[in-house]
Amino acid sequence: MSEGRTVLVVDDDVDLREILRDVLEHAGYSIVLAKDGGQAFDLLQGELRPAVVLLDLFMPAMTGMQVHAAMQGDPRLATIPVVIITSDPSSAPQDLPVLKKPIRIDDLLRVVGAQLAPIE
Amino acid sequence: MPTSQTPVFWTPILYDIAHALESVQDPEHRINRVFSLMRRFVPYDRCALMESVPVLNARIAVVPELPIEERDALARRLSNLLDLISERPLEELPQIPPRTAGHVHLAVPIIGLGETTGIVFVERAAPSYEESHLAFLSVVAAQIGAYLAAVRSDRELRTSEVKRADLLEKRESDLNFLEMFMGMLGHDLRNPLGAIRMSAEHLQRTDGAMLERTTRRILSSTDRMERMVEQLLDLTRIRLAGGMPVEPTRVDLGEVCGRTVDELQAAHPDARILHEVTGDVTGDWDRDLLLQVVSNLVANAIQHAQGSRVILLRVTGGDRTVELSTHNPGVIPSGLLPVLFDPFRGAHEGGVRKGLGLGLFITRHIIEAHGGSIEVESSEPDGTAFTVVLPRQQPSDLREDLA
Repeated sequence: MSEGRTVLVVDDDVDLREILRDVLEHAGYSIVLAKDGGQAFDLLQGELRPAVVLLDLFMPAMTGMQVHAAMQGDPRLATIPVVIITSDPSSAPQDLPVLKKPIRIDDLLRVVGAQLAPIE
Repeated sequence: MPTSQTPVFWTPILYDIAHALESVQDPEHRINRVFSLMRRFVPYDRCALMESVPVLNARIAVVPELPIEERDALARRLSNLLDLISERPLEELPQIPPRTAGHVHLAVPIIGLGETTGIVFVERAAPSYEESHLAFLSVVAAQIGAYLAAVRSDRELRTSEVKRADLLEKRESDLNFLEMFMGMLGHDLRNPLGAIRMSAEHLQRTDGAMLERTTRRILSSTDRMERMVEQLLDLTRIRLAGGMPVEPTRVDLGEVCGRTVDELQAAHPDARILHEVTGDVTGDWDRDLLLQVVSNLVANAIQHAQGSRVILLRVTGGDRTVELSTHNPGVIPSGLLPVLFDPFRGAHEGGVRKGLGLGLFITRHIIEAHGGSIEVESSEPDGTAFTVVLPRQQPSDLREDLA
């Protein structure tokens, strides 16, 4: 399944999740939404191979950190770029790009765009 | 040359008495030691100390030990004496009240920190006491008075220190509570605020196509912020007023529930809310506050319903009370049950929260302000049930009826 322009958005806040979808769809991405870490992990265990994962940190079922750790432990998922979306960047892992909430649309599009592999 | 009748002879005795009062023993032992040292100059058959401001454990200290009736009789006598001298200036001292037949006595007030705090008393069979005995006893009474005043002020100081420490501890926990609250509020307001901001920015960049959907999101985020601010105000009311202020009017709880169910059913078409009213369910309650209670309990039930998503809301009129219960499939983790009504219980949920975690805290306070109670039961096959019992009349109304 080729998902060169697919972004998986994981956030437990429904309004934020949906506006991220609208904005990214409007910019030409296909979006898959997950309402918590557990749902995101289930999707990734299946067929979904997004080009980027936008990952909130503090969520029920599974936190963003747990999702990231599980992805790192799975060779099929370890190479998928992850962008942390959080209001507390200090609790994000050092080596990952971070979008600080509240997120500006320009920053969102720039950071997501930068993660995409050049299309061949 | 000093004789046994001159103050020079007192010096070593007074020194020993001062020493006894400074010893490490408890006050009772020290006073008994003073009594026995006094005997070196003032002979007595009985010696007693009675306090009006108690420092010692017993109301009266007596040497030697007396049978209980004799001891009580002496206590009454000294109590009368104490009343007499406490109410008048010393120079107006009246005739001393009844003595033991065939005995003579001396009684001297104990003064501490400017007030009469007790009396020292010696008694013996004839011969009479002399003026030097009274003078000596007065000096000893002054020593005892100073000692007891010191013990008293030391105890008062310690008590006030304990009170101050308690107050400080309470202040500190209040402060922690507020800091935690401010932190959570700040954090939780960011999400809806972020969604509103991004929605507005999105609207600015797109044509009218997204208008309906985006404005709906702005409104729903605004609603959430509004609820948080409402909760903040409720919390402040509860903490400042010592409880939720209630303005009772005649309320039909069935109507309150019907209205809440209609609203929540429209907002959650995927859930099925069954609503059942039995008997007379009217009472004197604060309608707005009960709307808040029902809305909170039913919204919680919807949010946490698992499987069938069938919510049951039941209102039953009893004799003096009305019972309201909600039921939903789904279980509350047993570790959460004891802290379910605590504010910010999110801290107990591994750092993962929905909202401020104040809904059930405020709900409980509203119900308690109505003189009612709320309980929760949750188990694997039976699901989760909240039961609220409300008295039809407010406790203050009942008092007025009785008056």
